[in-house]
Amino acid sequence: MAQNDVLLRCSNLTKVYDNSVLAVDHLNLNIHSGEIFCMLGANGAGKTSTLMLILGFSDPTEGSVEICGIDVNKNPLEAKKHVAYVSENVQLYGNFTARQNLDFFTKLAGRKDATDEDYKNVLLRTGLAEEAHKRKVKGFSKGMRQRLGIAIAIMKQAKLILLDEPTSGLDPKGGMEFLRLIDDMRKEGCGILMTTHDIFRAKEIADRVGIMSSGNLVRVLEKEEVEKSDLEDLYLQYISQNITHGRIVSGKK
Amino acid sequence: MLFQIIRKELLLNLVSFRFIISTVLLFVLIVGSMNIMAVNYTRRLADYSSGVEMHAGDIDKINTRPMFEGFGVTRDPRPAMLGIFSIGLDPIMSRSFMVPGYTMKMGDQGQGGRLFYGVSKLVGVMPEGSKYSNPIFTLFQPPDFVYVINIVLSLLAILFAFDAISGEKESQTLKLMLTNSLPRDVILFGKWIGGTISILLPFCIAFGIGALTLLIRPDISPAEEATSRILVIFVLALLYIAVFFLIGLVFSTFSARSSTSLVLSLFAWVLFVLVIPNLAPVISRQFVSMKPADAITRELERQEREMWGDGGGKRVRAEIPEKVSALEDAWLRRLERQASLAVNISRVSPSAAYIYASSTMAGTGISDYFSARDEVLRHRQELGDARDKFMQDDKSQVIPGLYIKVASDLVPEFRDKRQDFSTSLNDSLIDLGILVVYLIALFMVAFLKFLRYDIK
Repeated sequence: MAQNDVLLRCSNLTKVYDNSVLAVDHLNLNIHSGEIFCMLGANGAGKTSTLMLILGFSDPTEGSVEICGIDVNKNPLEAKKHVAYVSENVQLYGNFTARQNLDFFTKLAGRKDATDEDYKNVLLRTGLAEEAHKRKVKGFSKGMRQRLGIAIAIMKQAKLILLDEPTSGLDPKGGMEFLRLIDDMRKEGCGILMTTHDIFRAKEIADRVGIMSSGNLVRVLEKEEVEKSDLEDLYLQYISQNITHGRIVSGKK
Repeated sequence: MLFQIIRKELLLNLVSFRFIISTVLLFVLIVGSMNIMAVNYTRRLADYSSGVEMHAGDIDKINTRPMFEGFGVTRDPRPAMLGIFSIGLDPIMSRSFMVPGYTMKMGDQGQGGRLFYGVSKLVGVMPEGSKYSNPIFTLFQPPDFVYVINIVLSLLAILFAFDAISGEKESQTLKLMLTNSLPRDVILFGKWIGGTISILLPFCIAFGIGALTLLIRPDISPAEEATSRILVIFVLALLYIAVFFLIGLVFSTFSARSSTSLVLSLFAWVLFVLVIPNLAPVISRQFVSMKPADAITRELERQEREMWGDGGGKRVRAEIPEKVSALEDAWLRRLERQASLAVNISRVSPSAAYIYASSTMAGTGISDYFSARDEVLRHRQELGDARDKFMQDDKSQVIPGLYIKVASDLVPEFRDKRQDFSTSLNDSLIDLGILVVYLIALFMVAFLKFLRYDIK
């Protein structure tokens, strides 16, 4: 892939928390436009810590993150214009309707040109039936909230999408629909970084799969390798090598 | 973006259960308190009018020189209309007080009284009538506007703010907001403004309705100056509510859990509203101790008895005035020092600062109390002078040396002088300043904490 379409560049990214736990260990990762990168890893492997570093929610101990060529730590507000995030459990404002939540976050993202029609279309596109648009979100199922979360990401028109285990807890149908949406976003040129435990969905949708263990990508597989290899075996093999939840550095425990 | 945050806060609060409860509570309490206090004021005004009428005829009953020598007057200070908003010290300041003849100023021993009574600043100015008022009013003071704001609205402001940040962290919406190019100070400022407006909205409406109900009462006729005073009292309430919202907001940035923020905020509320203002007088008593006024009276009585026994009336007349003056002046100075220390200690709390400023603007504050006391002492001197002048110039004796006729205009009127608006405003500036300093300092603390707030 061309270097100029790199949307995310993590260089030597390292995070050691105050309690000396090494969460991310010299991670190098590039994500390109039109690519879905699935990051597999056990709990505590450093997936969410990596996302938090990318979003600028915590400062790296070492290394850097660039989104669309903008250093997240030096210019976080500018970098955040190009990234959207969907968490594992999208909560939103329960007393707002789906439409109100979407409107609020769209305007927060700086889009003032969005019309009612845009909102309606994007909500329909994510699979939220029209009758749900004006319902309060506190009555939504997890799947509906996840759909709304992705609608917010779509409305932001960000180039890089970060998904933190977005399909966990969704039923098979909901999970499939969710992946279809992500696939659509890839086709539109978005770069997608998705952390997940779900090997099968990763295999199905990813252009590349990275196995994360002890804060680093211990193996990155290209699309062809993913298709050819037994990803489950490979994953379990790497995971079983190191199942500790973060390493202790500086001799402290 | 700031507008979006403010709008979101407003919309979310307006549909919340706590907003509905707060609105009902504020309407009931503010409108109710204003009207209860208005009824209370009307009753006190009627008491005042009947007192004035009753005591105006006292002078006409005088027909002998000994009667006039011992003639005492009862004076009735007018209750403050703005006591409806802050009753403050008005129940003490507006009580009738008796100035017995022989206490007006230094003179003869009088009818069985002790000589020092004639020069005492303390004797004779004690308020009357407390034994005849309904004790239940003292046991359960009617809640005035300032009380409602101080206790209830401060608590409501905290309940609106305690989960502003920690609650959004729990629901992960804070994380989602901050994935946008949105500075943290904008979020914090928006939350403060939006949250404060949410609680001020029902407050302002309740205040407006309460004020309207006062205006349509036939028994309330506010003076021109009252409008400006009420406006300042209103602004002080706004500032005070904003301060307590910020206290909740600060503790919201101190914790990742809204339950912890709530506990911390309530602790701060108890400390600021209940503990510090009530503890300050106790602490000031430890630093500036003083004997009760009765102890001075007993001491003077003892000294006077000794002088009568050793030196007689000549020595008493020569020495007592000086002793009385020295002892009482020292006592009064100490009283003022004690009060001033208590006020300054309690100003650590925004609650105390708010009460001082509001009561001062209502004309029922501490400075009004001391100025009213000075006015009573001045009036007593004036009465004494008038009596002496009459006794020297009296030409109306029916039987020389015994029967007299005193014209009622001879007795000086009691000028029920209260501080004017600019003096009150000047006196309350320090407390107003304290509230503003609180606002700035609390916002800075919240801002610094929120900059480092772990939103993961």
